[in-house]
Amino acid sequence: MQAVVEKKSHEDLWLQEGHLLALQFSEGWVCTRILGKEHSNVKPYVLSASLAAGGSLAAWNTLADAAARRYPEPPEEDYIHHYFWGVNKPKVRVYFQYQSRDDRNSLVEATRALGGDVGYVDGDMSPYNGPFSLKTEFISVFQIYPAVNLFNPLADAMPLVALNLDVMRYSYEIIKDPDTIRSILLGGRRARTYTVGGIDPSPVSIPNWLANIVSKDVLKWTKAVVRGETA
Amino acid sequence: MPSREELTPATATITIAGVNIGSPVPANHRRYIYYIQAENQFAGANVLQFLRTLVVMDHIGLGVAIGDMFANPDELKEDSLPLYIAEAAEQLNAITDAGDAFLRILYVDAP
Repeated sequence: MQAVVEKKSHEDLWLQEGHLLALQFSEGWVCTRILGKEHSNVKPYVLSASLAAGGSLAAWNTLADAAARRYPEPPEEDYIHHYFWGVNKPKVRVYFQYQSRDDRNSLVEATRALGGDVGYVDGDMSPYNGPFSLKTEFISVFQIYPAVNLFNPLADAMPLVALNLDVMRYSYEIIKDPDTIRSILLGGRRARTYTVGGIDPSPVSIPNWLANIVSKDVLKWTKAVVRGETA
Repeated sequence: MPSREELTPATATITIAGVNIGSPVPANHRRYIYYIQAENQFAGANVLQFLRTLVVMDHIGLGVAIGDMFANPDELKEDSLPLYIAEAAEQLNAITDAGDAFLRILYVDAP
């Protein structure tokens, strides 16, 4: 008899109106309150019509439509995109860069290699029709988006490798009150926290438009708050 | 048995000279064969040997008529266990003793 691990549904992690969301960039934290939400999806998003044995995509793919508009990236500054994904081939290895050219999910000092046994999610972990692995979670703001590549470790070509992307779009307000920010970052208030991109070597750099709204001094101050260096 | 997306078909017309079936098993993987079907293309008794590299895994006896068929299992279920297992870097092949036979298998490669 096979043991079955029950997965938490990714839909339990969608944020609701009124929820607090804190995004960690390399410069500091941006705290927001969710005002509204709207669901969308992309299914299927075909990454390869036929992925050769031992092969990868010719170039990193930013999950764009025919007009080069990237699905993971919100089309304007007013939105945040929150998404999970699954892939239809159980053994295809999906690797990410976030942002583009920043390889993620390494383990040892050497950066994980495309096609290696480290730092990927495959279709066994996150199947096409779900349940999606929580490792596939991404949150993006305007001008921030990941790039994806594949590797086929088998001896046979994989026809039609496709993603199923489940997306929730949020409208939000940036929180500027220092006491609220402090209680979000120090756990006094229940909030969802998310590190954009990862930690190795650092989270994604904040886009200029957001840094101008939040201000670089506030970003620097949020890092001091988390380190406990402020009163 | 894993999902249908994982199943890979391989077919070959087997001769008395021997024929490779499908690709070699990739490194760090095993090949699990869940279904085998053989059909005699020779007008006489024919025995098909199913091998992984040089190791004989099975003998399948086919009857005297063209079109005589052997299939195992009759019904492939979701929880079916594999019939044969080939190891990393091995090559599946088959050989007949009297004439041609058509062979089809369904398999999955997994670490």
